[in-house]
Amino acid sequence: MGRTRKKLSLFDFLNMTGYILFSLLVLYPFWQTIVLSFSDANASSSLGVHLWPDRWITDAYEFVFSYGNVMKAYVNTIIRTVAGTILIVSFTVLAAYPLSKKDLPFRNFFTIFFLIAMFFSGGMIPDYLLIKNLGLLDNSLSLILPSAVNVFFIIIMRNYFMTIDKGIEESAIIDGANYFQILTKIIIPISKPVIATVALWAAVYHWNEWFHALVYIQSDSKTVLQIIVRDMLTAMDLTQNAQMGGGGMASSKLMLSNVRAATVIISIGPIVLIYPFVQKYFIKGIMIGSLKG
Amino acid sequence: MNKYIKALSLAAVSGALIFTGACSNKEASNESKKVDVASLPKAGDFSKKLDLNLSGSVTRGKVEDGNYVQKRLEKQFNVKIINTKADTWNADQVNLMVASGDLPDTFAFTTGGKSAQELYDSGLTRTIPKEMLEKYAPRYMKMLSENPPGIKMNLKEGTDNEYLQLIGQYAHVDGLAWGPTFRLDWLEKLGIKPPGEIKQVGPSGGREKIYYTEGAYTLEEVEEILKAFTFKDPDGNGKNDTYGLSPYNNQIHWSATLMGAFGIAPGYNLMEDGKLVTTEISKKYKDFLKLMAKWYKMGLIDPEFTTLDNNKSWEKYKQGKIGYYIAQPSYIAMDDWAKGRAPQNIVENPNSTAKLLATAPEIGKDGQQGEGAYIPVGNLADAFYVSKDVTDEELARILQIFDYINFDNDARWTLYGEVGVHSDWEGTPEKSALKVRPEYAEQEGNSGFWAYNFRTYDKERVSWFQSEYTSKVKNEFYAREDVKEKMLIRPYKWDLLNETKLKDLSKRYGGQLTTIVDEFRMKAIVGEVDIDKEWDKYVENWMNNGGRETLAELEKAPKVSDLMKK
Amino acid sequence: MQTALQKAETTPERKTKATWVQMKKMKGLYFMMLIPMVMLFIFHYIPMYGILIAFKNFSPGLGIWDSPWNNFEHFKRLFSDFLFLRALKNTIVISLLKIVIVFPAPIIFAILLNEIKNEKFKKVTQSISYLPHFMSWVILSAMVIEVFSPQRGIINFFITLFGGDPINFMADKTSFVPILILTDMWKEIGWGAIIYLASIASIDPQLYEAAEMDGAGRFHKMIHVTLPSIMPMVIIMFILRLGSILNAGFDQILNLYNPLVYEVADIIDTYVYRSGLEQFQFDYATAVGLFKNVVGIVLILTANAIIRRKSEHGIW
Repeated sequence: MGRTRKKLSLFDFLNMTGYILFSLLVLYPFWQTIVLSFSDANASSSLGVHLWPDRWITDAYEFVFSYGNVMKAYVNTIIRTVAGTILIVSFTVLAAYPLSKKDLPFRNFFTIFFLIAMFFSGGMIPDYLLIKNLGLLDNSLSLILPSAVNVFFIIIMRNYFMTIDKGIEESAIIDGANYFQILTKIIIPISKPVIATVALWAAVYHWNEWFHALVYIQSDSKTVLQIIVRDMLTAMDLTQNAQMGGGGMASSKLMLSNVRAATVIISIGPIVLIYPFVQKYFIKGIMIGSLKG
Repeated sequence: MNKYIKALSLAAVSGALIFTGACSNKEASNESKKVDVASLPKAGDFSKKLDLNLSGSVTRGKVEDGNYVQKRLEKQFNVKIINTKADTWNADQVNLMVASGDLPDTFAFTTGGKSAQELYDSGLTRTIPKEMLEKYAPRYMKMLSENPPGIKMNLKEGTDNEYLQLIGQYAHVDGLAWGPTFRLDWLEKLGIKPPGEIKQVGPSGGREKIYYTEGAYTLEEVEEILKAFTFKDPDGNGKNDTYGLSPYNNQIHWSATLMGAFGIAPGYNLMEDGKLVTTEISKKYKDFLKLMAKWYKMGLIDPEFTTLDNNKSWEKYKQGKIGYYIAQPSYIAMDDWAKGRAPQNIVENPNSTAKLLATAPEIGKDGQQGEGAYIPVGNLADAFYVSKDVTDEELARILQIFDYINFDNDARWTLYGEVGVHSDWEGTPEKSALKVRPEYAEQEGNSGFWAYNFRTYDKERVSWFQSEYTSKVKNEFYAREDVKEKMLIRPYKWDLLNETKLKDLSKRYGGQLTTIVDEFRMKAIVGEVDIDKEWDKYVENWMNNGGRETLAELEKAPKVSDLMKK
Repeated sequence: MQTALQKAETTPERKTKATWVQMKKMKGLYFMMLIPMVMLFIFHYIPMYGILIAFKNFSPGLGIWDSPWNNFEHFKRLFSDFLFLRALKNTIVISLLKIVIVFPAPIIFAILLNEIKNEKFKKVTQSISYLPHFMSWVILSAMVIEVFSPQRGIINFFITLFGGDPINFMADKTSFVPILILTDMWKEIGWGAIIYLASIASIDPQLYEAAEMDGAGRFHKMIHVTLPSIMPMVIIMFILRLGSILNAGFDQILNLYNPLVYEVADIIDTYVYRSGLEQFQFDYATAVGLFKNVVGIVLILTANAIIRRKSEHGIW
């Protein structure tokens, strides 16, 4: 017994050390990005290691905030993310549950109906024409409706549902519950970990998605954060159109790397903070035990 | 399972058919009807109010409705302007606009898009009759006639009086776009003399640390200098950590004048041993590569360049370990927009003791000196299109607005508003650049500056946005007539009048050919391939992957010397 | 297999009738799927006609329907282009390496993390581990290049410390692909582990209790309880991953590569991207995309069929 315990704690020690080292490895670039974002061209460049800026300055942030309507874009992005996530999660659950029923007639047909959509898409032009013909151009709905059904998520969730013990449901059916009641009263509560995961995926998708916003949205008042991010990250330099007159994005003190770093910090802040809320649903064995009681 | 797939795709296709059948009934009919110009209103007759959907060529889609320029133009030309909120810098958006046929009445793109012929063939644009241009855009026609072969360019195939697009004048890229620079403080420390009389670019702001000269080093001298820069500890820190030159991996500018010393320019073509060849397969290019490989082997080139793009290369230069760098005239004049770029970023800091010397392009072994001209033939470039659905009556009005805002220099207010109200001179009035006051948007936005303009600049217009120091160095050297005459390298043949299928070929083979060339160039320089041994294989590879077709087609293009004849 | 429906020996009429009864019984389930299916039809199936341009010379003015057919010209172009074939080979090599090395990493990460008893430590580690997923490759590439820099990089610092010559790793054909794999793993491991952590969270604790009663040790439980419990998820993730075998990481490679390593690092997406730089060619790009997806779906079907033979997990 004694020997086993000692061996196990050595394993624990190594395991934890491994995770600490990994965390440091992951935190370093994040920290360097923060440092770069608070520096200017003279304080540090993207070359070399920077653990502390020569002096903390906020010019890069001011530059980003002066470039576009960042606050408005923030609000739009948050609204889009919340609405889009609710939509995706609901549709994922609604489609995944029936597909998880092995005895559902024509189940394969429906599965294939969803799968094909995962692999074949018409591409940009017909998508654009569709949005245009539906009158959704420059309408925020164009950002959440086309992606509301995500087949990848549906398959993952369906698979999860399929691992749920059938016994629980069968007893509910005998009690006279309909499928919708079973879904809301039994399936959803015990599937919290996977629903939370899909919700996280959906939220991150909506937070990061820029292409639809780029081609479907024209008004500045409806723009999203990633459009500003993309402008900064794809700019070859800060003075792109200066040669054609006017200052363009001219800034004398900053390097592109400072501005890019600030943009990244601005853009990932809120989304990084939601994970702890998701984690809450990862507590082991929720409900299952109580249901089986 | 197959059954399901079939049924599904059938359902999808039929659904799509019904859906799109209802909404897309466009047909590309290219029959242009004769325009009766006489029946159109006189120039200056704006009695009928028209709605126009306009877009300029530098716009980022940030224009606000009811801006200053819009209101003034609407009043002056009795039109209602509908703003297009498209980002002409965004290739995805532009291509999608084109692909879906969703275009404003007039448009010009900064990026992406298609060629004039393609747009016309696709039924997206209309032609612009010469007669109408003469009647409604006289200043534009004058500009064309002064810039041969402008009048002959962009004509619809088989006609001599219908233009597929309008074109701009690029006086801002006139002259040498690039010139070499050396760390002058290093030269002095190493006891190397400048190649001629040197002058300061300006009196202050870091410009006092930048000198320029008309003199040039020969390639041999440059090699000696780079050797000294690399091995003689020019920064005096006791470490062997400096390099002669640092190229970058994403562009080829760094070699502009070095290639010029071999008489070649990237992307162009030349006659060699009685045969037409492109630069990338010429013997001169091979010699250039061999010199670079030699320098790399000697350790004169920073080996890290393979992983640095130009932005990182600028940052690296700033650390003060590189002696030679290529620069535009505006860089050495320290124009605002060029701040942070090498080489002038090294003198930006007031405490910096670095000094720079800009020289004329280095001289090759047969006395060649120069670089590729920014525009292969003449100085006309860019494209302004008119949509298919624009009527003759609308076109008449559009042309008058176009002619006024782009070719009448009284229309400066469309770019800078009124001096003293919206903007101020940066230095000497009428000689320095104009700066828009902070309460107005520099471009688009509430002011609408640049929002409707096309990218065309004569000399005067260039002086509105070019600093006085840039103007000075350009006038004194980089864009002086005799310098241009002597040093600008132009291709031997060029398909300026769109008479060949070169565009289609480049669409088909461009990616392949560029990959072959880039890969060989890098490998040759760093010594991964033996240039002498591999050269023939490389040329053959190039030929077999679209090069042969490209060369054959290029033969059909006119000689540049003929095109340039006045 | 409780229903008569799947039994092959039933007669056709009885089968139809049984199916009908079953459908009626489950109509609530069909109703549930209705809205997602309608949405999918509108936003995915209706625009699907766009695939046609892969077989056409697309002309914007004519539109997708009226553009002329081009006799598979785009596909002929693909397979007559030796650089495309090289890119195809590189894509498969990099992708397979990523599947073999990167795919299992989050699974191991999740299982080992699950062994940590200190809840707080676990949560913090997990929250940190998924940070790099949110960093764009534009930013990360600069740091990766720095780490491997011949002049300032930490690895070359140690190499020179021990008397070696610095190596330009990012321009070296032998080290570039391993760097791709390593950095991809580093960036995505924490993010990828989330779904497995979710699966682990729903393992019935009774299974562990039962294993303990049988005297199972820690490793035994990891191998015989945790791993089998998340296996269905691992399998489905694996099959779906195979479907994107021709996506080898466009953003990552585009930001890290250079012409010296094209030979091993130029993938389909980067090559098509460079080819299209001059003039975006929707038709050609659609053809390439179609090719990638067909390969993907063939692989999914194959993998699914193989896995179905061995177990009951699979896409259908």
